[in-house]
Amino acid sequence: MSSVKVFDKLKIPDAVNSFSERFVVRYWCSEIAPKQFCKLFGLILVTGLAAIATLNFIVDPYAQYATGILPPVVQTTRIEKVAALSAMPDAPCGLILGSSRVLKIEPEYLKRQTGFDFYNAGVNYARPEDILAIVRFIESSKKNLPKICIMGLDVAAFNETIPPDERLIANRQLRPFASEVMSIENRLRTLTDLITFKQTKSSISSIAANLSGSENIPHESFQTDGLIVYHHRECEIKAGRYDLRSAIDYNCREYLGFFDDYPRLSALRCHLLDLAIEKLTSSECEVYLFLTPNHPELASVLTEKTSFRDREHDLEQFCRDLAQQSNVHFENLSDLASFEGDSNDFVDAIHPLEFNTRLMMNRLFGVKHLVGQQTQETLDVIQ
Amino acid sequence: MLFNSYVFMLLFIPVTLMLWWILGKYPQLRLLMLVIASYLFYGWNHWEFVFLLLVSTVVDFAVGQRLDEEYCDWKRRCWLAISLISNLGMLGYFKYCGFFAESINAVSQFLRTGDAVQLPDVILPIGISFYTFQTLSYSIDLYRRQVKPARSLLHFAAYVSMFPQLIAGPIVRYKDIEEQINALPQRIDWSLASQGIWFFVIGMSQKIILADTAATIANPLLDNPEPMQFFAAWLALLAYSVQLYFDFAGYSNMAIGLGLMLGFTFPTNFDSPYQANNIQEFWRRWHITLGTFLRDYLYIPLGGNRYGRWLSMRNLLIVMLLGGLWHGAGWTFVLWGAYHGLMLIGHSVYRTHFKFTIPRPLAIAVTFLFVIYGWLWFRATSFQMATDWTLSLIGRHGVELRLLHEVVSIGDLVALISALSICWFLPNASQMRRPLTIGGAVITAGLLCFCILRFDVESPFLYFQF
Repeated sequence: MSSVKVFDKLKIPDAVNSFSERFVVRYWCSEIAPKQFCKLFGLILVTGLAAIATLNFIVDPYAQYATGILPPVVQTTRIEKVAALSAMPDAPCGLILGSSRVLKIEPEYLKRQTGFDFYNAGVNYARPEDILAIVRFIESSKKNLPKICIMGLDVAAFNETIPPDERLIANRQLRPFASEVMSIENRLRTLTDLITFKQTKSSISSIAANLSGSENIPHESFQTDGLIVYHHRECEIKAGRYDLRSAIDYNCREYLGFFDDYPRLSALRCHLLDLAIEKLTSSECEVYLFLTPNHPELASVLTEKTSFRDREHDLEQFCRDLAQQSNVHFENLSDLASFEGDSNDFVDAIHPLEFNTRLMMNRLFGVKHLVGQQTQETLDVIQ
Repeated sequence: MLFNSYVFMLLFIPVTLMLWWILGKYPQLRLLMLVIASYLFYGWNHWEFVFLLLVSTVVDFAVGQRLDEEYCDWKRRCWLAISLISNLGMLGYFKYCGFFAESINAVSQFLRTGDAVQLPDVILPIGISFYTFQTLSYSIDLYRRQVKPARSLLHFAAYVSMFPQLIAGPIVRYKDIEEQINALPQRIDWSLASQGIWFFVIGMSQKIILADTAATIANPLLDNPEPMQFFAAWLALLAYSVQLYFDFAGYSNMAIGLGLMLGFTFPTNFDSPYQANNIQEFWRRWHITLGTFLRDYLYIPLGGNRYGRWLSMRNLLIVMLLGGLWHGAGWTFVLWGAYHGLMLIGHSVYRTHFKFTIPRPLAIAVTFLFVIYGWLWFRATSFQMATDWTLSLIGRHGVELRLLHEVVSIGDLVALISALSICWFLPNASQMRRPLTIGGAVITAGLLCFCILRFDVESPFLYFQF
């Protein structure tokens, strides 16, 4: 029986002719009792949310649930770095830790300087909880910890009003190693992430990309040693078309927000950094701490309008105390002048390029780790 | 805890509603459960403030009992004074001591004597302005013998802490809810529940879809340290006006909806205020429960309009100045209150001396312009910002469109115009016919589903800071 005949049997008024009109009158607009309304509302709401959660779980656009049916459409630095570290048979001899500001520190250059094989494990917006989680992850998955570790610290990362990065909370491999920052809400994130707008949008993009077979060209990618390559921006820099001014302006606006409400260093984050360093030094890893540099224009804006210099001073003091207690090396490279850097060798106001990172490493190591001064015996043992 | 959070929506509200209706035959147990749930809700982010709520509740309950039992006038006045001192003292310390210290220091710096006092490090407990007003109204009403005292501490604690309206109103008076608390419905009233769903979803949509979208336009413009150009200044003002209205009206509608789901009826708090055709009507439509509170507990005791025009004007100005200060501990809020006080006086003078009537659309437009200029002082974080913004509105900082291109898209503009149209031309949640149809259920559930997806971006309500 056709559906039109079904409607005919329901004695719809004659004036209502077309199928769509009948559907609207019979179903969509028909009055229902309040109890039915409430039940129907609840049913549709639960079904809708369950459907969205199922879609996001199956597609898993951020590789959070390891369903692996479709390739993740959005790679995050944490996912890629953890995958690379997992694939290594042993912990790397040298490890670079920190935020995206350390991503241009070249493992290859450090190898030439120190003789060690380095891996750049910097991740976007890294805070002390990220550093600790990565160290603990390496410790639990490998038998050893690195012999040498370079750690770049951002002053903004110690602001307690800024919550842990959502990509750490969402990362199922790192999450267990950041228990100190796992509030009830953060623990629920595994479930609630399934019903977020961002995840749903990415799931739909992922399906669309897979159906159309289009290849997603990333704006940046990582070499096997963890060094970042800024595809678009590096091309533009080479061609002399890069608009550094706009990038700096953007960072100035962003960082004014980070320092807007920052009365003191987060005690928890200082403690987490302490834990990470204690873990590394207890396994005889040599740790080099430094404060990451800012473009002079950003530093000047922050100095004028925020508590940046006070917090920088607090963090420097904290690191110097830590360096004294734990026998680690520390340098404040926040100002370009401290390593004679070039204000044009930046991607924006916070990300130095290779020339600057080399100068930073030279300053950090001094002459101590130059290859010429390493004994062949030491190198043999390490290699 | 925020209404627009996953914990609230997926855990707190289903469990609370389920327990509330399962325990239908045990009113004491239900009230206890409601109090525990409300305290959990209140202390979710700062558990230490729960003690403040508890102290306020216990003090006013005890004072209330005494006020009812006592017949000696001066003793009753003493008990009332204890309630006033404890409530206003708490509010004064937590909300205003930093403001007063800053003001004293500003004067001493002006006199070049350095900082006179040390700035106290006090965190403002969320919702303190709302629940202290509720407990205050209870004591005053008991003093006036307009209500009976709460049956038990549990009844009173349930009234003070009731989670839907605890943090940002509506300001519910005990007499509004006394009978409802004393005779709790044992079985769910589906008609009320369906109304509750309607109000809650409308409120949530106002917050997530309209207010938060307006915030994405207003915030980048207002957070930019550079003075705004002409168009940017007007756009920021319109967007903030939309954000503030839908943010606060959204919260009130959600509170009313949650109350209805629990079987309580709360007073209406908003009645399409941007459709008001004069400033007096605006205050009858905006934050109605605060307006009636200030009228009954401040304006009328000051003499109201009983002692001639000049005293009536003075009373209006005092009420609006204190109303401004209630909203925020800052001189910009005081000026905002003074601005509204002067406008109310101006309107009163106009009404007395001029008999011609302005066409309604024009009157609405003029009232809207006056009101939104007031929001400029409400939003500004300093005099400097307010004066800069005012100068920008008259084009003193240029009329280029440059900044607009960077921060505002065509989609944003369409959303803003749509939101303004809703303010001006559509009926509000109370006036709309509730769609008890299949289509209505589908649309309502779909809207809430969409709002839940947007909970990934944390966005507290603007009125939480008051």
